[in-house]
Amino acid sequence: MIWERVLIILLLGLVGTGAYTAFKQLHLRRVNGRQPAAAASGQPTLLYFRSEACAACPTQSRYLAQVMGSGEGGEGNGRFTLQQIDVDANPDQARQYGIMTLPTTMLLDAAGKVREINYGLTPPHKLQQQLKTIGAGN
Amino acid sequence: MDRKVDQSALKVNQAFIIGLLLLAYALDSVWLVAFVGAVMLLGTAVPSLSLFKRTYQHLLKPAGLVKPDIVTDNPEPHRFAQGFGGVVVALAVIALLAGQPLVGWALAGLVVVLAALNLFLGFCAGCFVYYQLNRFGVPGFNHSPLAKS
Repeated sequence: MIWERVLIILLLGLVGTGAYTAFKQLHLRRVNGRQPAAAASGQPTLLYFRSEACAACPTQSRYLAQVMGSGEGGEGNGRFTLQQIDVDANPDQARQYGIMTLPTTMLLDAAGKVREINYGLTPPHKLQQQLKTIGAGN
Repeated sequence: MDRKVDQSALKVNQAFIIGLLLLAYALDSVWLVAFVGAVMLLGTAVPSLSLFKRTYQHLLKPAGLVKPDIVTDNPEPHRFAQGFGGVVVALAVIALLAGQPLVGWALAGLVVVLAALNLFLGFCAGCFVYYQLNRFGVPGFNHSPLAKS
């Protein structure tokens, strides 16, 4: 009985993780297939989708300020550019990138290809790690 | 007014809720579900008595096992989220005791999924509901999202 239930938990966990991974890969493929306009800036870009009504966005903004080092502005020590997108003011851009939850952060490499998507609040260490993988870390 | 929330305390709380509810399902223990629900509701009514958060404050944090992550945020939506979860767990207990295991475990599973969303993806469904109620001017939901500093 116990092992049967443990197996159900493990199976549900696996199915959930698998579905999430597949969904994220599909989202990445769709966004890259659309070739968003803001993409190819010749420098890695961190896209940050937010809105005034988003509860977790102020915390995400502070996390991003930590990642940026200086705290404000669009320069990440010259290694990458931070682009903030207010989804209420730019609904078309939000649709283009398939934004479903706020905050969402996306990392684009120098060629404009979306390499990472983070749904929800993402801590600075995770963003820094992802930036390293696209050659924009400290 | 300076408003601070320790994200690590919230995450430990969520991890305990998920872990204990999954254990309760594995052991088919209604009483463990009731225990989790009681801790959640008591922690909502009297935050200083939240057992899981006290475990973090008095055991995990001093031992250096979990580092504090204090951010500026409203604590009320998180408390509302926990209270809402506690009510759902209480309903799960009632269903389990009434001989409706499918309904009971489905409700407990819903709390596990919502706590996991918060723990792994940073999406607090209860906070979202709180801020929506605040936007509609519902009495008692007085705090709007904090402005960017």
